Amino acid sequence: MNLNEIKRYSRQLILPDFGTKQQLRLKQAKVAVTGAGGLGCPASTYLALAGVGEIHLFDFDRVELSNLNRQFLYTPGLEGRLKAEAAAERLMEINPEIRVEAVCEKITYDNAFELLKGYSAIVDGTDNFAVRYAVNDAAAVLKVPLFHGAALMYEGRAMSIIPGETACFRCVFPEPPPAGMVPTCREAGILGSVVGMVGAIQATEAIRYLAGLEIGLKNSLLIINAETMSFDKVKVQRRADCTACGERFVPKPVEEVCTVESVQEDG
Amino acid sequence: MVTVRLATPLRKFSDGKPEITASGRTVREVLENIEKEKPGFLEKVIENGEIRQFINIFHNNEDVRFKKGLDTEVQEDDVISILPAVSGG
Amino acid sequence: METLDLRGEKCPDTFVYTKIKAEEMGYAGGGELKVIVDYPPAVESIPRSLEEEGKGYRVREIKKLDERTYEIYIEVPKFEE
Ligand SMILES: [Zn+2]
Repeated sequence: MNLNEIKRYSRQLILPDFGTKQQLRLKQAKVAVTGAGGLGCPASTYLALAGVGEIHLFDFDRVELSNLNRQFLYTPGLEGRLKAEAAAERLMEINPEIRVEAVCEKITYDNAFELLKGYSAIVDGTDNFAVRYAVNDAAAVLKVPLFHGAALMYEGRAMSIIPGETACFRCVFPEPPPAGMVPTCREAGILGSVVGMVGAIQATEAIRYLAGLEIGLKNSLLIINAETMSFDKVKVQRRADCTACGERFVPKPVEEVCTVESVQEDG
Repeated sequence: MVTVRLATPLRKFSDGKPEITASGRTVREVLENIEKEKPGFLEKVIENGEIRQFINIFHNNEDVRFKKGLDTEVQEDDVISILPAVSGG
Repeated sequence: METLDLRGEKCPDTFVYTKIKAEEMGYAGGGELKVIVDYPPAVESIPRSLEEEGKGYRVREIKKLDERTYEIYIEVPKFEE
């Protein structure tokens, strides 16, 4: 570590379970952040601040004015720019010691297993079930730890998935809700600070895991309710018959049901 | 009475509130008592007597699938959470 | 009657503008609001989202003008405060 890095990371280096070895592990890590939106902005920012050496941001969307109540890596004037590119540039301004790359490609069930190869961890900040299940299944097959997060109105969810050790997203939710449970426009409502909490939790779990420290959301789904500010940590378990991480992998692409994202695009 | 926390997609059965109270000796009875107040609730959660694939029910933070399912006994002041997956981000 | 022309807008923005306009009207004593949309999914989602608001909005009529264009007539009650 150079003097600049020691100073930059000094406040985490003096943490009791943190030190040179942990910081070096972060520097050597290569993390994929899928989605550079409401979750991806806080998650990637905290990964960058902590000194994760290489971050790849996946997003094919462009910045819109309506993103700016929560996606704080973007500023007025950036509308129309590719989010992943704009965010990557901003993150390297925030921490010039690391490398951030933009991958402006849409993740699908067909390409996820190729695109997500070779990462130390994946932080999932996507906004629809089709991509979420693709990322989950790819992470399970590729044996890459996955830090799950999701948010809907005032509710947040987070869970850490360590392949071979803990339940995956599909163990907990084998299927997405049917298209019949279509959300209304109101469910596209989201507060920046709520989705920010979830992204910060995902990043904290990923940082501690990458540093080689114990983490708290293994086999646990955290449910945050920001109206009552209740944090419930419920126990989940692996399913032997899970099609993603169970005894036998079965590819199971999920169709894009009407989600918050497609509410914005299609309904 | 037990506290029942409803995930956001199920809020129309609690008049928008994050939690409601209901009575019952088992998870099934609690759900049936909610159905009496909010018709249509049960079919969102249960199909052919089983918990739907995309729904999880937690009793005191444990998945009832790994307990006695809908027959899991509940006590006064217990907490039941009902959750479908959410995907927003 | 007030008119809100939302042609060219999609969800959830169609609902955002409807909600803000209806609230303005509700606080100003209520009345009738005509919303024009040319985004068919909004014809279902605006009334449903308004109902979920629990403010007592009533969709009186939905008129189809052409393949894509609809008029939604909403009765906005007077709000309490
Ligand atoms: Zn699994």
